[in-house]
Amino acid sequence: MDPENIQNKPEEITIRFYLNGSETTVTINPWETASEVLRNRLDLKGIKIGCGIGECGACTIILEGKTVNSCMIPAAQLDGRRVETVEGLAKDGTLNYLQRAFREKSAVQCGFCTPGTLMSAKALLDKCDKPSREQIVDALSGNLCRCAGYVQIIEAVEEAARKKPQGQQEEVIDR
Amino acid sequence: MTCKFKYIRPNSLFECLDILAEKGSESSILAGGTDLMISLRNAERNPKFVIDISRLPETRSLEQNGATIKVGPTLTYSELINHGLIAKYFPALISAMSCVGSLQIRNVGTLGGNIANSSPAADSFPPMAIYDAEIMIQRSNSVRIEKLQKLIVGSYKNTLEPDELITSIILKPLDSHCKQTYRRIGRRKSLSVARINAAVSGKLNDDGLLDDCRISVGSVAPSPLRIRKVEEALQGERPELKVFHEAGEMVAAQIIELVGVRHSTEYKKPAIAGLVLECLEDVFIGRGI
Repeated sequence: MDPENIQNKPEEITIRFYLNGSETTVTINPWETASEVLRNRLDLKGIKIGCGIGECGACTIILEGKTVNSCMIPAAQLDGRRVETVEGLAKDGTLNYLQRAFREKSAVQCGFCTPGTLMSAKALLDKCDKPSREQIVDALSGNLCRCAGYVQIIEAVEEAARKKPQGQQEEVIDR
Repeated sequence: MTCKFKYIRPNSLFECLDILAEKGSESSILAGGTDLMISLRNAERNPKFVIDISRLPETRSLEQNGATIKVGPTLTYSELINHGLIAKYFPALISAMSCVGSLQIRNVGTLGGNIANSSPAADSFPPMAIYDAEIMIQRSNSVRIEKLQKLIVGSYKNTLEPDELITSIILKPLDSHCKQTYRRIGRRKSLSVARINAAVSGKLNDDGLLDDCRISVGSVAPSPLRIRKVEEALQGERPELKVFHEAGEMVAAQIIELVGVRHSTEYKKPAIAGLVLECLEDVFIGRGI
């Protein structure tokens, strides 16, 4: 056996957080980003790593009700927090209202930006029932779509806002 | 190659300052992480320890203290933008913070981090310079307070010592008759770094003449600047376009005198003059806040 693997790893830490509503415990290296841990250790491949420097928004997750770029925060900072990813949207194989609106309005072309864009849209609609077009554009301005399907994406969020089921406001904690 | 380090999250300021006293020179301080994480990944920094101060309760308060407002350095841009006291007294700072990165970045990025990183293009610096911002810095056995322009001594350079921590940002509200504005030129609206930014404030005196003008221009010099010569020249002048034009050109000339002629000067000279002109128009002809 490789002696490297027998040694204790003194830097490793264990974090516990709420991932899409379920308590999750995972042991990580402190230098791992939230996106690396969610993708590689917890197998949530919906999180895309695009630019790695906070410009593209493909790695967007919701942390305590607010969107963040998961490629830029250390996973250690998830400890004790509520985390939502795109995998939490569909329930029992049924797409949620936002995902349905994206499909209906053809807001998905290559799909790479979609998980992050959905999370930005969700964070907005969790707080705001009837966002203006300007508010939608603002909320999505940190998510780049290289297929340039912005018009369809904005229309999908407008459609989702119209069709948002009441009581979908999953325990938003305002800080 | 990613830098490998040990993660420490102190529970109190006291504990944090103790850790810094012992390990400060081998440590990096983590608040929002939007600058630090990239430099760790690129191994531009190689600390043995990363000290996460983002949850330190002592650095997360915002309070009015007589004539000043004390801002906790780890409050995020989003928290500050939505704070009533900041909206009331520092609207130009709100405009500036709203330009930072994207919503995702503003949800984690902090004012203290902006100061400690000391980027010459920091959006928050010009407004903070017109509010005469002072930075409170602590180490385990001492406290010092520095003016922002004194603390930042160059591009990504400041006088913070390894065992020191920014523990509050002290802002002085302007006279209640003053208006203020912030403008920036970037390559695009979102997710860009300012090429030139400026904050301007001022009021008209009882005779309808310019009074208490303050001008700060950022991104064009290594550290934040107040353009005192032009501020003084504007005192008592009429609020006329011709005066604002001249002021813009004086500011541009002053900055070029300071940083020297560069390859970008041909663009920046009229751009600085134009930006300052627009700011003065905002403040004295209407659009100011």
